[in-house]
Amino acid sequence: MDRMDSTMPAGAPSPTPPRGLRSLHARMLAGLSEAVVVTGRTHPGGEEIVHAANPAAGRLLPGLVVGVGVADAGHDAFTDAVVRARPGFEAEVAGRLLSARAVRLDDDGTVGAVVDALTCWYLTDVTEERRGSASLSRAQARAQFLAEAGRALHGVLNLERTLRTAASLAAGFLAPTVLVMLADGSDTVRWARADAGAPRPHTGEMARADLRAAPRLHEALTGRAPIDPWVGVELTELPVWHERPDGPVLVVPVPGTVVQGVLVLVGADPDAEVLPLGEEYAVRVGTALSAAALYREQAHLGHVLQASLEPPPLPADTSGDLLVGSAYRPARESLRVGGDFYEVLPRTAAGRTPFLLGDVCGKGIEAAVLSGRVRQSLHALRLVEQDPATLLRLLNVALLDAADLDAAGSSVTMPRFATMVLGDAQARPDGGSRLRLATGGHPPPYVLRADGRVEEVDVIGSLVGALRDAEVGATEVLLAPGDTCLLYTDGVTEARGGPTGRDFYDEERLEAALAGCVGAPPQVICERVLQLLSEWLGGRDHDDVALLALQAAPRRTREAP
Amino acid sequence: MFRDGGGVTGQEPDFGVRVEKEQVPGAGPRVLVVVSGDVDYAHVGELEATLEQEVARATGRLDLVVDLTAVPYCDSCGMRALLGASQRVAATGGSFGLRGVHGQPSRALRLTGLDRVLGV
Repeated sequence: MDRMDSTMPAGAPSPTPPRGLRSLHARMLAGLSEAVVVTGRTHPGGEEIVHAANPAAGRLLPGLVVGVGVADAGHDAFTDAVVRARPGFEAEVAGRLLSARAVRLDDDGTVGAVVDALTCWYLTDVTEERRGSASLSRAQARAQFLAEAGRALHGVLNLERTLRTAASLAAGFLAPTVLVMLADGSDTVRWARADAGAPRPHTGEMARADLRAAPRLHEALTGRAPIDPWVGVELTELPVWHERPDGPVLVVPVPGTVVQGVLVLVGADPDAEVLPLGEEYAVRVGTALSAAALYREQAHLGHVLQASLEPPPLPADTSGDLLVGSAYRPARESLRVGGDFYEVLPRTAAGRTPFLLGDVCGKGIEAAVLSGRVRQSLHALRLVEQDPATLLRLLNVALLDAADLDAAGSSVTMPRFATMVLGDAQARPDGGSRLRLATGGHPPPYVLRADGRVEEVDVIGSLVGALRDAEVGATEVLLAPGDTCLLYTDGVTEARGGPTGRDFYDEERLEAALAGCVGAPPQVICERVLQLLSEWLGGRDHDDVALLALQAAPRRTREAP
Repeated sequence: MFRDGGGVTGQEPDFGVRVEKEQVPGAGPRVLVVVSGDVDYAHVGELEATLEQEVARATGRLDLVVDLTAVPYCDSCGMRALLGASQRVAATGGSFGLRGVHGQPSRALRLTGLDRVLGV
């Protein structure tokens, strides 16, 4: 291959460098891994001739012969660049990717009577380098895609949106069209389909039965069989396409503990190693879908519990001599199932109307369970005991015993307790009402007299269900016609708002609000207090709020003055 | 900053729990847990964890005091945490006490009867 013996043009006339120097140049160039080729025309408009070439040039441009036309070697890309005097090129030559740059050699006189200026070409084989950087940038793009997918899918917690996002993110990257299907144990299969370039994904649901057209997919979705990656033929029949899918279809299972799903990639490049990337993506989608499904289930549970805790409607007619009103506003957060409860029961055979308002500690399911236990226990205890104070003592014991049973076997348990006011109302011969009240750990009720005075009932007791030696507070309140007794939970007085947003609503404001309600029926009083409280909150979140008002019916006829 | 009745003006103080060791003259060491900020649903976990850790760490009798001087608000979750800790401290044969109680927590502890149980 050592066709060249000099950097000097073949046959170039003098001045000729000394022999030693010529061979020195030749040996220097022979050691270069870069190919060096000198080209030039024999005369203006003449053919481009190879004037010199080092051994590397022989390897990269086989067929190149010094003294012969460049075109004769048959490397079109090189010939083209030389003829057009390009500054460089990158092209495939003889199966290798070559990167070349050209340097014009000015005629400084040393070259002599060469008619046209010479060009020295430096050519490098970049095949491996480009292949490496191409696979590197592909790997980077994949890593970036997965990272972005992780970010976009993280914390969506909404099943529909997660499905849509999963389809949209992958469309255009994994395949032109991406369909995500999800089965969650119900009879419905949800899907989202995204087409690259379309503004938004399409979503829909279909009955599981509709999957009969795609039995293998159906089995995969129900977890009965691993997915055959190429079940595309079946899928074309599904009612999820805008147009029949075109191109190869790749199906990737979406793993998940809570849900089963598949990722359907339509028109993916079969050479692009989509499957491993699709599988990694499916893991992220599966995690996000499972989280969303769990969250939905939990929120649903919360709503069901909340609904079960919603105070039952007050009895429509409590006899005519006792009027009742109530208001309830649960805390806003859906998973914070509240602990406030109240109820008014139908009048007993003894002519007493039992009522109750309370609050259990904690939030969520634990609070819901405790609140249910309190109410159920009271219902049972009322069958054998009617005196409010005795009832409350019995309830305290019942809750403590139940807690001991719960704690059996576990060394560390947190106390659980409730606070409440319970009592009953009995009509008095004079038209008023006599209230028997028992309280444990609860803010004392207020009495709004018919003349506008507001009194705090002086009765407190200790928490219910936490202490063996609990002290039950008990008292009686006489309501004259038109007097109202208001029971409330601490969500009222501890509501934070006002000008600073940090002030408690407090007892003073509640008393003032009550004083402004003189003459109003009990339902109006509760709603008025709630309204003032809302203004105080100014849109801020709050704890549960419950109000129960009992009013001795005002005299219908008043004596003329 | 604080006014009677538990109302608070100004910015919400950041929640924090700090543990100190005190040497009581004529008695053994005492653990002081200093709490600041609202003890409510959002923050009670941190207080519970600290109290639990101190109980777990105690090899024998534990004397523990919780300082609520910088606590403007304590809800039922907070009271539950304090009650739970007092019961566990009692199980070690030690003593539990509250210090610096004022404002809303003071009223809440009185209404629930926990003031006498928790040694306010």
